[in-house]
Amino acid sequence: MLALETAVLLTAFATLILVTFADVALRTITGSGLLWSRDVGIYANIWLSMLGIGIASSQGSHLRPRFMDSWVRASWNSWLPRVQELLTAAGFLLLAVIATRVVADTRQLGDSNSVLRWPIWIFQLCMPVALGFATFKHALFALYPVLRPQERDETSEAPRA
Amino acid sequence: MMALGLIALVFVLLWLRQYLVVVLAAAAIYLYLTVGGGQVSNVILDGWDELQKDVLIAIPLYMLAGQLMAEGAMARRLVRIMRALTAAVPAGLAVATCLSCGVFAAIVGSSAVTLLAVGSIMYPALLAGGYSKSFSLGLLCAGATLGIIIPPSIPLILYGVMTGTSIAELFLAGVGPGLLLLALLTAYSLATQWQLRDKRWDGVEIRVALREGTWALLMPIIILGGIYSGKFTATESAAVASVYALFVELVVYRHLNWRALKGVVLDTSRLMGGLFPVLMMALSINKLLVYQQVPQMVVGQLESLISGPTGFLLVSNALLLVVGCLMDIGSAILLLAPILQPVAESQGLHPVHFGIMMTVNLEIGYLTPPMGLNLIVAMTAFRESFGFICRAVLPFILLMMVGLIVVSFWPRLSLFLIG
Repeated sequence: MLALETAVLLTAFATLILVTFADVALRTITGSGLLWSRDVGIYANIWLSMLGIGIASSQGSHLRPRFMDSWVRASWNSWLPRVQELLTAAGFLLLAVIATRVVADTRQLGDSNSVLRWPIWIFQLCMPVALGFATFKHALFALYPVLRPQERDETSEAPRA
Repeated sequence: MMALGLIALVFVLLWLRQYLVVVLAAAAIYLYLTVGGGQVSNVILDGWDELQKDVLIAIPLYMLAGQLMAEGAMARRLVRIMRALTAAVPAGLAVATCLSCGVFAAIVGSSAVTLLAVGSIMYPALLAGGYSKSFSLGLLCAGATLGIIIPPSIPLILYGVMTGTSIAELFLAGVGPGLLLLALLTAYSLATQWQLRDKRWDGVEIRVALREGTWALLMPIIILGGIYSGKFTATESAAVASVYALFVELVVYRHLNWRALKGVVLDTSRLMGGLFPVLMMALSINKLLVYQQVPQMVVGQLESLISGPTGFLLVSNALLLVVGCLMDIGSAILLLAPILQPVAESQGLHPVHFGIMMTVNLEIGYLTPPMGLNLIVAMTAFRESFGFICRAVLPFILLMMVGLIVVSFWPRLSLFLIG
């Protein structure tokens, strides 16, 4: 699963950079850019962000306000991580179910992107897939806490010691 | 009753150590069930619609450029230039640290990356140069926060997205306060470390440093010059920055190989995976709140309690300082900007000025316990105790508070470039 996630992620990132840069470069050189670059860039960005959810889950780097961490008894720390992961899995599962319904509805309506002329549900597919992956991972962490990654003390940046 | 239920739900989930994305998703579902006509699918649908903003593309691209520079050779070469240029200045190493943070911030847009990239080089140098551990750590932690106010800045992009404020104008407005904070840090270094002189200017070292660092020096010029000249939008500038960083690190300096590049890309994706789902949920909630005219109601309630812009500035600054102690800047902006900005506007404050003030305020949160990110990063990276780092940053927090007061009560400092 991780190899597939990684491959799609790298492709989405490469597409995002190439298409966005090609648009700027072409516009600067020839005076007109790529008509479809905006839409491709947006969808590539959404795909890489959604698939990034799974990577963030694997590496314990989802954003979490921690100011209430000390409000629980130390003895609860033996079972609280399992509850935490179970609830997270339930939350992601709920979102995955809603996202699946949204994709199904969009497919039924036959909406398509006016520039790319591709059905929108194909682009939306990244949401249930990514949320499903995240559900699976957190459920696994709840069942086998030993697999659980150490949470990273960071927010929007990447500190490395 | 509905509001009480929402607050209780959020507190219970936070108490059970839930991630922000889950807390916001639960809050969004609750709101859509209670006041949104039961249309739960709108949680995803509205979030999906909001993610179609092309300015959001700038975030991963700036993040990638920053990560590439931090992992590659560009940071080291920029710092070498600053050290060579300030060698003969009193407290030269401290001044070089301030300038390195400022220049690096103008490329990266992130605080922890700046702290690690500059700190890994300058911290040992400062200690070897006779600066105290406390001063060195405090300066590095404070200097690194410039990364989020000197443009390009990811928190400013988030503020722009959440409030519909022009990101180009926010970037322009960040220049003045960023330079003010840089000047304050430099002046404090000169005042307290005047007796420490590194060495004399070395013409050969300056020439070599400039020659080897030309590619790195061109980076901020390309990014900021492109935006301010109107040649690029913020998104296009981010694309140019990431391609330029890739070219310089892979082809010119050859400091990174493909394997390292893959690691950098995955690291950036991980950060995006942490940020974007939260952004999606926050935007979804924001859309519902706007539809339900909640910001107008909040404005109406607060207008009766707060008298005039001065009162609002004092109250909002106090609130944001507390929030900055408890929450990271991204989460704080996503949650509070859509609520506070309409109130600020109703009190006659310019939305761009308020965005800058909010960012400078939350910037101080990087240095305040218990959640100050730079304190935690410095503790891990430089292997010092949390208490020691908290004490080390104290004079710098006071210094930045002075900066915050100036930024808050002198809007022209932020707005002079946008007219």
